[in-house]
Amino acid sequence: MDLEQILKYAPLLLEGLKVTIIISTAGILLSIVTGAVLVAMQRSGIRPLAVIVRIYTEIILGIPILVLLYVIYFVLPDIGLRLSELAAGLLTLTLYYSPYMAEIMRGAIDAIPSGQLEAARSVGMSRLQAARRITVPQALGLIIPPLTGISIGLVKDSAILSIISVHEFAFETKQVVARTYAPFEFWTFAAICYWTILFVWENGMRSLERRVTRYREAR
Amino acid sequence: MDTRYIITSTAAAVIALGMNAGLAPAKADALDDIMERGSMIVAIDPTFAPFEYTDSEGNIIGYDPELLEAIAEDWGVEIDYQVMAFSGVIPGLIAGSFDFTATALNITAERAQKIDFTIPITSTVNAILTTKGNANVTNSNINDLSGNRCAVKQTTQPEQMMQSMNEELSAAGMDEVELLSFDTVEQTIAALVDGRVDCVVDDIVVLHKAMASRPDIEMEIVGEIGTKAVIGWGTNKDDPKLNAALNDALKKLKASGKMGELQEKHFGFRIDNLPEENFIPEG
Amino acid sequence: MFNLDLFYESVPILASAAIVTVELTVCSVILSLLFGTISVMLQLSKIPGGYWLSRTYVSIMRGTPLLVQLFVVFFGLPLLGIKGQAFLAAAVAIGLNSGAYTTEILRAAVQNVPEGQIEAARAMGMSTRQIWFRVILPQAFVVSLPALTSEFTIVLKSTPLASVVAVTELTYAGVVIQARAFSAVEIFLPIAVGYVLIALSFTQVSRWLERRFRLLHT
Repeated sequence: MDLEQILKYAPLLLEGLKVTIIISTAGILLSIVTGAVLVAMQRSGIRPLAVIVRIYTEIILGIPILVLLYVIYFVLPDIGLRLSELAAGLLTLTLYYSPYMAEIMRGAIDAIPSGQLEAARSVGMSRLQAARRITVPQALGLIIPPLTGISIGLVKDSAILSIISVHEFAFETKQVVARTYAPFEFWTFAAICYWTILFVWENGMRSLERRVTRYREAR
Repeated sequence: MDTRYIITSTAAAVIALGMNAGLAPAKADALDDIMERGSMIVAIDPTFAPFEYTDSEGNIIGYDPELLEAIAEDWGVEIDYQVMAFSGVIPGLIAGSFDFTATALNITAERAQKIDFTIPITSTVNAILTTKGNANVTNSNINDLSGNRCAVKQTTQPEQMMQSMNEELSAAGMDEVELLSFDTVEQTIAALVDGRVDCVVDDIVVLHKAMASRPDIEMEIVGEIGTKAVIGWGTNKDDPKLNAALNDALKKLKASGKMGELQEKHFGFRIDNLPEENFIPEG
Repeated sequence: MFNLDLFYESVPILASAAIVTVELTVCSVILSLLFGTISVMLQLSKIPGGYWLSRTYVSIMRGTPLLVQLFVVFFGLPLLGIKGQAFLAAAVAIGLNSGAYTTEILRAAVQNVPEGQIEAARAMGMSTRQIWFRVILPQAFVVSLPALTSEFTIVLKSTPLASVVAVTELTYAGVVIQARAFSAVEIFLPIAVGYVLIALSFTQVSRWLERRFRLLHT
């Protein structure tokens, strides 16, 4: 690998990496919030809301993010909604990932038998104690592994925003590859960068998972 | 975190990803493969009308495919197209994933360091396309474009040309042209139609074809920009015999007048005096 | 304005590309299950080095973009003297990638199999292999079915990336038509519907499997 070339383009690439980290973080937070709204709508007891969530989820789970991005960026202007590149990108990530986030939360809520809470109450725990000692540790233990997976997917999918000219990491890598014609060197470098970030993230989440699931050891 | 884990992971990542950088396959010239196989495996990105695109039945048509068909007939072999997105074409050629590419490539000094080019089969120049009556863009002078938004196809020669012009603009203390880079020509036109940009910069032949394909939108070409460039096909540097054979075949098509006919058919004009030597621009 | 002529002439081309998408998805899913099962067994059995091998595999596959992995496999094949095998390269790359996620899904399910069952199986004189294939894996697959299904719809949706290594699947077929016709709605509408239909049929197959296995267990 030609280190000199990589050093030459490193500032540009790191600038792109910064944008990737920022939009990914925003995308993860927004999709968690939107996912929670979806769960609330579904559990609201209002049937039309639940049906809307259901249809929305089926559609999103079925179409590739690329197709969604095309629709938001190139088709919405036809009906008068012209979003900037960054806004269109964030909206795509949020709309696409919120059903996944919702599914994780729903799964975690359903997995905790309601009997446990009743039992906790009957042995004299307060509502707060029951939530803190029974619900939250179990729910987090169930949420963290899939959340890690989904958020890793989001970070990597953010590379797709390069096609609408968001100057993130993959965009800058493509630029550099087109200038140097050294695809192996720079895509390998890109891979290592993505991998390093996600490695740290994954391991952080794993140790968090171990912390919150200490109760399993005592089983 | 376990250090052993980090070390094994890192080592494996480096080995897996660096694998293809070092090893070069020892192989025969692709020309021998083609003759032996009775078919040529040719990469093409048919999203670049009129150079290469598809008809309503999905057949690959255009200037490059017709030239290629004439050569295949002459050699008595079949064409096996590898239809792929442009971003895979040059990397695939370098790796030897197919025999060669007949996708129209701008002949540039940087590319010539990595791949071999055939002799030029056409020449071209970039131009500025805008919607009729757009007051921001009335000519193709770079100083007048300063401060406007402009769409280009990403990783292409027009994009790089605009980036260099931007460097000159900012050196002169003027506003840069804000570039929006997309994946396909169609998307740059869509950005213009949606009012996201004031103009599109691309190959003049491609822009003419785009205008003809969108008669519902009034667009105009306000002028040429940059210098003329030549276009050719690409071969792997390990295949000099194939490169020479393609050049001979192309020269034959040029001498017989067939190449001129195809230019007339697809571009609406003929290009004379295409160089056959020293056509790689200086880098 | 919706151009019906363009729509009609595109549908046959898109339909044959949709078949390529389904074939690629199915092949990738089979490879994913294979790689995932091997990897989870390596990770959780007591084979020396198995844990680290599996964790490394998962980490690399999950931590680098599929696009890069596709390039590596596609450009690696010529080194083995294989030219023009785009479909194979794409299926192997996507299968390897998805196999990492399958590993994680199965890991969670395997760890949920009560220790007591394994002890009981051992007490009954089952070998380690028998315990894996008769006790642990069957339960793990049934429990994981919903998660595996959503993983496999993700596989379906990652197939458009195969266009960079010369597989003309549904999305790229659309891009090619779009480049000729300079129009998006007539092409991307049927494409979106096509993906949703394919995904729905996967989900239906999975629900059917779930019902079957639930019956077996009661």
